[in-house]
Amino acid sequence: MTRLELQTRILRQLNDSPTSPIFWSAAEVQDMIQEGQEIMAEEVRALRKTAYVPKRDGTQLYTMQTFAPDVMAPYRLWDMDLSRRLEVITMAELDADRERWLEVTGDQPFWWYPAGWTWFGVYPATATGGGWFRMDYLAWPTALLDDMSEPEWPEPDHDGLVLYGVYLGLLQQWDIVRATDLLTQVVARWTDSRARDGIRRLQASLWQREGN
Amino acid sequence: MPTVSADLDLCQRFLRDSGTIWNRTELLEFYQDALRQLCARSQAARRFVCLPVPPRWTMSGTYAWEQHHALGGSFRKLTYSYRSTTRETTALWAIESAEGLTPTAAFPGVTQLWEISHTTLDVARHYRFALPRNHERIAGLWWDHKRLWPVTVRELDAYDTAWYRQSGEPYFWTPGLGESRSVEIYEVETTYQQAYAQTDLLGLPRYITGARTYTQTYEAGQQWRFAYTSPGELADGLESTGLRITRDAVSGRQVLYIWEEEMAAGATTFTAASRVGTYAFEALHSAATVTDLPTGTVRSASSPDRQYVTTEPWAASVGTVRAWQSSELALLVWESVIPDKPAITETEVPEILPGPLQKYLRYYVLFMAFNRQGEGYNGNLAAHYEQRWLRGVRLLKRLGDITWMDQKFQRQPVARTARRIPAPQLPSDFPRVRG
Repeated sequence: MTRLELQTRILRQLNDSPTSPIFWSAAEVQDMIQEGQEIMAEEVRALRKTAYVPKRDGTQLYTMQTFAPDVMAPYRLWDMDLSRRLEVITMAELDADRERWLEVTGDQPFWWYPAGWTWFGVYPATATGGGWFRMDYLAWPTALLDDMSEPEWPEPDHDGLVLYGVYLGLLQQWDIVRATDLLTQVVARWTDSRARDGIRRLQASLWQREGN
Repeated sequence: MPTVSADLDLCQRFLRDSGTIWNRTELLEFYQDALRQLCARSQAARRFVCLPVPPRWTMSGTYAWEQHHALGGSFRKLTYSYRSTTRETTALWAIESAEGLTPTAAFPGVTQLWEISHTTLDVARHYRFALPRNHERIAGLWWDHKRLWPVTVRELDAYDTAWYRQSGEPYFWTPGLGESRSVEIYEVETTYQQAYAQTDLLGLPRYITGARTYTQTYEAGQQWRFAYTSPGELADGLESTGLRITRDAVSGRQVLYIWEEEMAAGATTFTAASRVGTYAFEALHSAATVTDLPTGTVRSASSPDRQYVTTEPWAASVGTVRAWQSSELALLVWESVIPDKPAITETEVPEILPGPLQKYLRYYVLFMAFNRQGEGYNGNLAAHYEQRWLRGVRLLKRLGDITWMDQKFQRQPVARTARRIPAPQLPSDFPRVRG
């Protein structure tokens, strides 16, 4: 569905005119759609993107937003020069392994560790720099820029955005009973959306029993 | 990211109120509380900060009430309290004296703890380091890049020694006894370590010197505004950045070429000199290349041997360096923080959070607004928004550990596996040991 179609459906379900709404402006409904997209991204974790991080000499900590402003959380860090996946570790484990690991530099990093929502660190830091990490990450959704824009989700998940928009509309009307009911329906759809993005992609596996 | 003002506008739409029941100031206060709560409860906003050794406190004072004059900085009371804290003294013997006892030779007093570095006397004071004002909690603490492990005061007390003034290399840290936003280390390292210090407390760092070698890089093509030959020309009203093209004055004269200098010195042979240029383009006409004019201030620092990081990685890269710290032979604190004062205003953006999480700040505002006693109270809506807000707290807590998605099944600790020494198996007829 396009943004206009989503907007039309939300307004219609809120009993307002889709073409000349009275109680909600188009901008308000578009904000609802965007919030719905964010909630979907947080719960379904289906928006996956990739950014490339250049290795810098002597650098352990990388600010993710520098390379990917829409990053929510990376789920894979791949050393492109060595074709190797970096393993997750914590600073406490590094402390237990080597007393002054903060000062260590090496040829290539083996591990990566978290340092707040903005930073990740790699260990050991490269002494010479050059080359890239491939950072695969869960992303926040891009705002729909015009009426013809479509959400990045699979089409079956677009209904959830409509429901969420209606839910927000009902909250503005202080209709908490119906709003809660709608939110329950939205949450119920997340399970299906997660499956659609995950295990159901393997439907065509050799070992998968065929359904009809 | 929308501004706070835009968020509050949206809140007012959900409240269906334009300031009659909940005025804008009240909503802004809820918003500020939400931001502080979200950071504190999620601990997701983390940064590195260095504390120099020995510790520096913003202000030392005689009475606790003087803390008010530290203006939000750290405050250390240098005196000992006695007689129900109505009296303060700098030396313990005064307490004995006040009670009519014979005074004992007592420990010397110091105003600032860094003074301990300059005395060989035994100063019986706890060696405490002040933490920043917006500190929330410590996630890790290193001294000279070596991890210090947390211990309690009770564990240290078990040594039955004056652990708080035991000098040596630090191995542990403890919340200790004293101000809440401060820590102690054990053992105590009092050697004075000077990292970076601004020689003039005003303005920006212009020139960095030290044991390490610093070079600057700058964007090429920045030119001098004019060229001049003698300082007198500046007195004639030339302003802005000018390039002096003459050499050092010889006999009161400004000379352009080295051979002029040699001639004035009475030489009979002269050094050939290239043409002096005044603007960069003159290099095309055989003039010596005119150097660029580096302007502005330090924007970034890098080294193949170590990393220089900003203390607020979530903030936009604007502004300039105000303080320059080193973790070498100092305490490096990895801490979670809350927004610093002054509190956020309507024209600002809560950068300390990921943008999409701003909606949870709005939920908190709505929760508090509907929960407030008075005309606008609505318990059901308040409960609903509270649940939405709490979900945001949980989400940000999870985002604080950004590796959570990559931790399933493949985590491999590199720590050495602790091996337990097997218990000895004694034969059944081994004689019993009697205590």
